[in-house]
Amino acid sequence: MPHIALSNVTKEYLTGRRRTVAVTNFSLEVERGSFVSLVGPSGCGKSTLLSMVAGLLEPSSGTITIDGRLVAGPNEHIGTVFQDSHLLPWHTVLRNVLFPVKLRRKNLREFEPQARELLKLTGIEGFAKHYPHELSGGMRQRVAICRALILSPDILLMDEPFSALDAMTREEMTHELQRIWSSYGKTVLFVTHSVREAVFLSDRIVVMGLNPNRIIHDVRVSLERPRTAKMETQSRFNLIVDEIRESIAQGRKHGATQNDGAIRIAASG
Amino acid sequence: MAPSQTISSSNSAIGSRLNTAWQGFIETPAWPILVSIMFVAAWEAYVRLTGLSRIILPAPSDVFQYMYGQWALLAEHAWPTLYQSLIGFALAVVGGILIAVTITQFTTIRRGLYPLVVIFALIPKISVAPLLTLWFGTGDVARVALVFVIAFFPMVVSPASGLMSVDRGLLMMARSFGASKSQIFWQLRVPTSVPYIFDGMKVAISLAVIGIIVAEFVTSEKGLGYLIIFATGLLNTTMMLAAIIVLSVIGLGLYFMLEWLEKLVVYWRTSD
Repeated sequence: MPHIALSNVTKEYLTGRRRTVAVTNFSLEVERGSFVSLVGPSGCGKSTLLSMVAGLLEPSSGTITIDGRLVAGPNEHIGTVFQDSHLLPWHTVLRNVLFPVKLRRKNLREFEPQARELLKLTGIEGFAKHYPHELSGGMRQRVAICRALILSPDILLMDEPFSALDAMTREEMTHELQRIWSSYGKTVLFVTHSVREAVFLSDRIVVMGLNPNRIIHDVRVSLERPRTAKMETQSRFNLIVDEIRESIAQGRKHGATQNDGAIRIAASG
Repeated sequence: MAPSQTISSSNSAIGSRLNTAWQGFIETPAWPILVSIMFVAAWEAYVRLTGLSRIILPAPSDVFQYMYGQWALLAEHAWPTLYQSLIGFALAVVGGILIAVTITQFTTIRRGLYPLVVIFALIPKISVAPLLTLWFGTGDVARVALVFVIAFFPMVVSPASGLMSVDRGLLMMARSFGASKSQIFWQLRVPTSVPYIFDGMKVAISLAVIGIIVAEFVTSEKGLGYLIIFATGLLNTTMMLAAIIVLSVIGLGLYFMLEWLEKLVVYWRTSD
């Protein structure tokens, strides 16, 4: 059984009188323990898809299942990391990591060793007592990753988690994420605008096109792990990057021809 | 040409050094203190030199001398002003926050109550002072009631906007981790609204002091407002100014206490 299964998922919004379609008839099966990236032009509905898997949005039609069970609202087995860290400014780093524990009404003290271990894993154990405004953007995003992992979810959803960071921090975080993923073995669904980032991290890359918003390319990345900075300069890495870039360009072009009158896309991703 | 150039450039170097010293001085608290001293000195000199009647304008030295000699009288009148404004203020804070929570959390009540709140907020509050006397008599209750009425509305508006202005990203994050409506209220809305509550309190405390003075103008046998009216009757401008100074000190003291408390409570905002 696939870990995450989306079948014929459609999401429409009614904004005033206008019907906008974010996702049409989208189907995808994600294997347990795999790292899958969703890439595509802005407005292709990838963030909307992630929100639906997270249980934050309900599909207009179609079904989303996790381990065969229908997703009906936010779920303890899922940890989500957003584009911004969204830390509570009035809580320390440690309390922020423990926030999901608090929301699930579990014993904070019981989870504290786990939280400290996660902070150690992400290299910010020295900042447990600091407040978010005292941290850099990269550190804040590390805290957000720790928070997503605190309840040991099986699934990690990441919505452009590094896009607000500077290029150098971003690269560092990408390597970090690979390390975390390989030591915890979660199923990761990762939305990004960066093709290189997707190739570096993923087992599989799903390219989405515009109008209709559908899968136009599904690539398996068979580069061995752990992936290194050096691999990024090698031609087999860059061949995959080129292949994906090309299909994104095609998807965009395809959209442009149909975009003239019909449907307007209002998804944020 | 060359030597004169050197001279002029060294001149301007001295000038710029003086300039930076002056800039530095302006940054220190010594500068506003100096300006204040100059103001008082100018006032003193003006009164002395023109021989102005004390009824029109007493010299600052007269006022300070009066305050020094009559501190017991001033304290006796400052006390009711202080505690009655504080009681009215406290009631306004509690009542205002309760209404703010009610109108932000319950749509039905908001739709019903909000227009009424706006209409009441638009009434110039001082105009109801005689009405309050009619209802509550001439005692403390009427005065506290006026303080409450005048300080109440900022204590509704600010906390309400705080409760409504939770960051959307934080909301989405909390929902993704399964936050219930009451958890969102206590974990997100309440902490978000704390700085807004302080903003409201800073406005309300100034209004509370205005409220108590107006109330004491209308009816009282004690208080700084009473003392000001009493001094007017005696044509004792010195007493009047002394009462105004004590009143200002009370108002400033309360305001700065709130600022201090805010820094303590809203610790996450301080270093920004």
